[in-house]
Amino acid sequence: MEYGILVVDDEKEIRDFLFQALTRFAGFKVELAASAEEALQKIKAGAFDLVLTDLKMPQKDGLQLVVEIGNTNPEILTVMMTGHGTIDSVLEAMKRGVSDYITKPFNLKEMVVRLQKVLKEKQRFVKLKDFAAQLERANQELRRIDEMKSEFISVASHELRTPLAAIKNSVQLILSGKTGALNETQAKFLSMADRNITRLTNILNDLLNLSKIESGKIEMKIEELDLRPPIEFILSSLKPQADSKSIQLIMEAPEKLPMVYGDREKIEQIMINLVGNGLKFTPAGGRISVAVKLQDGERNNLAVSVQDTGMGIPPDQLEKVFDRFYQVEGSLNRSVGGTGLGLAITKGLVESLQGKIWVESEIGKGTTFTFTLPVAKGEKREPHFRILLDREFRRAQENLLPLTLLLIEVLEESDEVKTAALDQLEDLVRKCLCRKADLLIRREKDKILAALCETDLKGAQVIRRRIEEKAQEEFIAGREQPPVIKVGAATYPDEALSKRELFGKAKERLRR
Amino acid sequence: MSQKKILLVDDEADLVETIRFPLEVEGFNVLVSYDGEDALNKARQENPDLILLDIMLPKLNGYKICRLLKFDERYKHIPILMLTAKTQEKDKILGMETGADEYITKPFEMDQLLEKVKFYLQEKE
Repeated sequence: MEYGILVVDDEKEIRDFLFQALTRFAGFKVELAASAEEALQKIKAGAFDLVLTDLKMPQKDGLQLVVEIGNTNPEILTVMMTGHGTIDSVLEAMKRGVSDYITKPFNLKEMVVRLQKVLKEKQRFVKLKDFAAQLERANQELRRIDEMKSEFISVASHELRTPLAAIKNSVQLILSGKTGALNETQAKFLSMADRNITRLTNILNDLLNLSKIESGKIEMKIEELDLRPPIEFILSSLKPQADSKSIQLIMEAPEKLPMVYGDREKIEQIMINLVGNGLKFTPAGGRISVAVKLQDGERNNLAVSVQDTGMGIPPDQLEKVFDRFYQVEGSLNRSVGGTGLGLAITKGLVESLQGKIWVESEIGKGTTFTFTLPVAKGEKREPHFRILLDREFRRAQENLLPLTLLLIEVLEESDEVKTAALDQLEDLVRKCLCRKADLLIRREKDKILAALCETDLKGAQVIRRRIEEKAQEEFIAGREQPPVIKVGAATYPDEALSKRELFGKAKERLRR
Repeated sequence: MSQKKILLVDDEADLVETIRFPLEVEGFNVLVSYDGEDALNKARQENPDLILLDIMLPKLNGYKICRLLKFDERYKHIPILMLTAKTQEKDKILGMETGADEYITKPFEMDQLLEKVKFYLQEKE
């Protein structure tokens, strides 16, 4: 590849020498300039890969030249020529972006090697940028496909419900006898059809559920919880079932149990799945124990384990149990209405709650499922927003998605007016968003905090403007003046790279 | 006791038939609409005793119809049971916020539907 070099020096001898040397030895395409001004004009007129310039020149010196090139054409590499006495200036120039320097008198070989090195490095850099761009495009495509997959599952499962309803109704209609008398065989097979429609519906529901959990779209209400009540509730709900198989249900937990962060409903769901599974796979007379304690060696998590005395899971199957549609070979699971998605859903739920889940088992002895939940640190404000924000911010970082933090403050004396204004603004913010973007919102006495997932700079600007406009419109009716509101917004990653920066910038803009 | 009139609204003809049949067997007079506009007109003209209303309808969707009827003095007394394939929480709440009396997800158990229908109809006695 033939590189274009511009040589800038006020001494004609040097210019000519370098012209010969660089064209003949190094095969560069060389142009010459006698001053910084001439150099700048030539740069405007043509494209160069590198500018080799003297430092000491009348009027504009080499340092000024490279600074200007850095501003107008930052893609052009610069190398400085200098006598030994001016090393300091050169170092200064390197701080300003000069790639390398060459001392006079010249060692031609050295000069060519350095120039080539600098040019090759830039090539590598350009290649890397290309790769990064390609990766980013591939990434975007993957995200798009993932989004399509979620959309598809959602739409498909809704589309399937109506025909399922028609079939179910038809079958139940005939079974009811309202269309005429039935013989036993007919009744038997129609019942079978009815059961399988129920099974289909359950699979559909589970699939939709799982898809929502995996894409982070499941609604969670996180709060500080005592684990005992939800666990006890589930155990007592399942007691009749356990009794019918003479299976003991035991709970072991220390007197003083720290609180955790969690969503009560989801935790109950997790417990139903795990204990329910235990009941399915434990023979009569067995035992299921639920133990709650601090995770070994950790004070930050509580571990809940559900241990059964069932048949166990073979070691080669252990890692597969959380896979979708995994069902133990030759088991009763299918006939008992299992969808095969229960553990996948349970895992999704545990991970949405920032926990981990794993399984240990011994054939013939039993299986233990353990999941963890973060211990509550006793915050003054409800943790829901902060925890979900943590999760969404992490998701944004991992998937290179934007995230905007929005702060709205109402500066009004009267509490009544403040609340009314905040109510309206909260509605507004919720409505401003397109369906795709999720909204985390926290209401305080005089502010609204909202985290808009997948909203970039442009989106944030639009939303912010609409809030300000609409606020003016909405409030004019029935009042002399609209209430004073302030809006501050900051976007990751364009304007801030950490949550702290995000909050800082948004708050800063709020003050303006 | 005069025959109770039920307005059944869904754009899926097969499903409509599977619901109409058992209702008629129970002795109800069933009127049918396959789109939103027609449903609204029939509701206003015929003054049914109960409405079974799907949400995803051509021309006018079930939420709007429900809201229109429930905010109208003349029709707000008519119980409306929404039938739908949508299962998300938000949709459930929205259904309730439009004033619907119940929200039933497809597929449903027919005898449960019949029970609910009978329940809402007897309230008026």
